[in-house]
Amino acid sequence: MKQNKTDTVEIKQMAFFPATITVNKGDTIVFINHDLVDHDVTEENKKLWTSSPLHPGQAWSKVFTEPANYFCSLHVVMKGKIVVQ
Amino acid sequence: MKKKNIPTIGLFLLLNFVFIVPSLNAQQATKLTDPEVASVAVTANQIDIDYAGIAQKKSTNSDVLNFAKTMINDHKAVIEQAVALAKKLNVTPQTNALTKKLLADANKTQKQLKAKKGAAFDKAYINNEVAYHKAVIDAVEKVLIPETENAELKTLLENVVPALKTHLSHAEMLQKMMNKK
Repeated sequence: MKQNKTDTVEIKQMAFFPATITVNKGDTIVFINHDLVDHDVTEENKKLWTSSPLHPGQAWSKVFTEPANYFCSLHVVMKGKIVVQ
Repeated sequence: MKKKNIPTIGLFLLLNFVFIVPSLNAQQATKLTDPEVASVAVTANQIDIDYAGIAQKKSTNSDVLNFAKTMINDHKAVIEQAVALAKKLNVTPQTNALTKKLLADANKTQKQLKAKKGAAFDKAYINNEVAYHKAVIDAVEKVLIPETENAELKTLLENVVPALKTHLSHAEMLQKMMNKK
């Protein structure tokens, strides 16, 4: 049985790194704001989930069982993608 | 807009965009000192906060209001960091001819914005944001960063550029939407 693991997406320089991340079903992604300004992580299509604003230094995590496109609702041109395999 | 003499050194903002545009014609200037750079950086950020404040009072467009809120939050964060760094370095931001010019131009732009309402205001505000951010990015990359001597101040300015470029992209996206209507 595969053990679930934790991956990290860094938020810095007004972008998500990596912009596309591939995880296994049930894995956790931690989003860490290493930028100068607040950001959030929000599901893009139906706004199903959101981290709410993360101050610099703050982190937020979520378990992913479905793929998702997400964005920063404060900086709507900042986008990322989660692929679940 | 008529092009005026542009000094080869020193800071300038020269724009040929829509009517609400700040322009600078600095005299042949010597290189800015770090206290002067800090003053320009703080002033440029505060100007955009003030423009956003007008938008919050006058606009009812949710996209414009969201953008304005982001401008206030982000530019306040940059000012806080610039002020904290200046304090750490024992540097007092020094008002100079350029900061005075920026403020004078911003004052004119504010009056023009305040005279508008409704969709005309929204369009004017966003058009100005596009022009302003283009000008500030240009000034930061081509003059402020190269002329800054202190490494930490230089790094802060370099770290601000992605935020300015994202603001520009966001404003251009809104501009495109408005031009379609």
